[in-house]
Amino acid sequence: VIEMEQRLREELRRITDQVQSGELRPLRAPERGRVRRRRLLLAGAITAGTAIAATAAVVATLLVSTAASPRPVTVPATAPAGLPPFYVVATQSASAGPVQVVVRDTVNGQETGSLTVPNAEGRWAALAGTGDGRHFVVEAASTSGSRFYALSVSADGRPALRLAATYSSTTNPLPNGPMALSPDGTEVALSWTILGPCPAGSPSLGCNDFQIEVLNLVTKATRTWNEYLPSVAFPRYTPGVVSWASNTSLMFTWDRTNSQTADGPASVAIRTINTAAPGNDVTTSAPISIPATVANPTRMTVADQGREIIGTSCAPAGSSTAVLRGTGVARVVELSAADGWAVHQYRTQTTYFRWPARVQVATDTSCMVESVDPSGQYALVLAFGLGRFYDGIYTPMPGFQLYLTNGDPMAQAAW
Amino acid sequence: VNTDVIGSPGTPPDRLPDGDPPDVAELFRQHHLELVRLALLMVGDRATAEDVVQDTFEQLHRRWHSLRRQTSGLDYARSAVLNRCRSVLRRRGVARRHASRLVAPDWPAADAAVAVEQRSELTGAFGALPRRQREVLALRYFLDLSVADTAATLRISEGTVRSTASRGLAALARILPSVQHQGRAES
Repeated sequence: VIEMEQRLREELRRITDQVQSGELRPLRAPERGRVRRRRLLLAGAITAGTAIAATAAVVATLLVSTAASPRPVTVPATAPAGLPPFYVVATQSASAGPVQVVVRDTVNGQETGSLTVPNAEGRWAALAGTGDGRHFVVEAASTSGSRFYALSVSADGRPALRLAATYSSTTNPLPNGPMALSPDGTEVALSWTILGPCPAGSPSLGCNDFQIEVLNLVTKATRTWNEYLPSVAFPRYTPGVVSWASNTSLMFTWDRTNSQTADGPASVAIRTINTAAPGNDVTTSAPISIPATVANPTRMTVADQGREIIGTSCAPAGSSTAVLRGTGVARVVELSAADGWAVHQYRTQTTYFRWPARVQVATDTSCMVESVDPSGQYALVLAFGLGRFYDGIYTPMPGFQLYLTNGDPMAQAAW
Repeated sequence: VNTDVIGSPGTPPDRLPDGDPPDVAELFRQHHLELVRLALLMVGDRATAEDVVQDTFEQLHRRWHSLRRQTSGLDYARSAVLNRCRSVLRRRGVARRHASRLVAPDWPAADAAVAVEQRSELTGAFGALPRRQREVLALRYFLDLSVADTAATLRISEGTVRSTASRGLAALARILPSVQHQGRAES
């Protein structure tokens, strides 16, 4: 034990010696306004405590009402033809445990049914839909692998659950990311990166194994497309979120990262895999680069047989030198699948958060395309609030709580 | 956002903003580096570690006058840094669920593919420990805090500190031989 203690001391010292005082950023002065405001409030409290309390209550109410807190959502009673009839919201509490699935009518947002997905080990479950509003898949993750449940919704909105496949893999210890369900509801596509040994013959000791995997829920067969890169190699290209353009065409994001300390991808592109063709190389198609004008693109999803890409572009408002404190901007855009350029900007959602630190949290977790119907006419999007798009018209939808703090439940939606 | 610089490590500011307690600047001057290093052990990358400590000092500055004992500012700062690191790790977990399936431990989650060649086996094993064990081991063996001080910082009992440290060291001892056997660090 003493030897281990000593080794640990030396190792922790070695790690932390990488940081030297001369390299650190200087400390910013806190906002003076806060101190002065607090003093004013204190002085005011002495002279007119009751009045200040009342004013504070009014101010707080106003702030909360303009923040991304749950609000009553009014949904029109009529909807265009072809709209997927139901959407599903899967929610897991912050303390993990079972996943609550609620089915809602897409027209009026009313709940039509619900059920609980067993998830004994309490790890995250992912949700995906075919886009028809009737067929979904829920993944319940555990340390030994995942269980994939087929979730079907009847014509009157009642859900039914069936265990479709189990997926046990020692190379998949943290199965907690987005997935995509093929339009015919038979195949689930996943992507991830594993740090492990390189293929035989590689001079490098460790390699990143970038994988796209497709699991057939009918035959239970899996098929994997890989790319191995030495773990020290930069720039690094990582396959990301996948979506199905058709039953045999799989599209996925292709993030370029320039350095180990980069805050996020330097650029994003889209690639395609033809699942009907032989081979297991993820880089068979040419990448379609998303222009830098689409800042921080997230959750690119293909639709209309791969002819269009719907995505979100989310960031704190302002620039790096003049951040609008507490304000986030979410944009929903349509991109051309031919060259990646923006075709339409459907919505710009600017939201004020009472607590400024939550802007980045919301940008990371509450700004994405959740589902697109196969025609590409309808999209279910999260832009600091859940809503659906049709023909450029945004309609807020109820039943979804944003993840903004550690105690909030984690939710996903799909149709 | 006010970005006036009030100080940097080793170079205390000549003049603080009006009304600022001088002890905050002194605390910063003396312990900024140590706190960034502590945060680095928790979150795994320097930029995030610096952000965590920056936010902590901003919070400390605002609450300085309301601290019950201002002499305990360092304890407060250490606890706040660890709390913020927990938030960062949890947020990364949530963001990952929405981004891509990066199969890697939370530490150092900012770069799931930290080069295995650049990491020692012990570093990898430390990063694979549960968060609480990492916190206890970092306070005990990086900051060299006593059991009592570690317990006070983490607001847990001294018995819990001892048992957690013991389990952490045992886990490291268990992991290391297998890593050596495989000839590579597991991520």
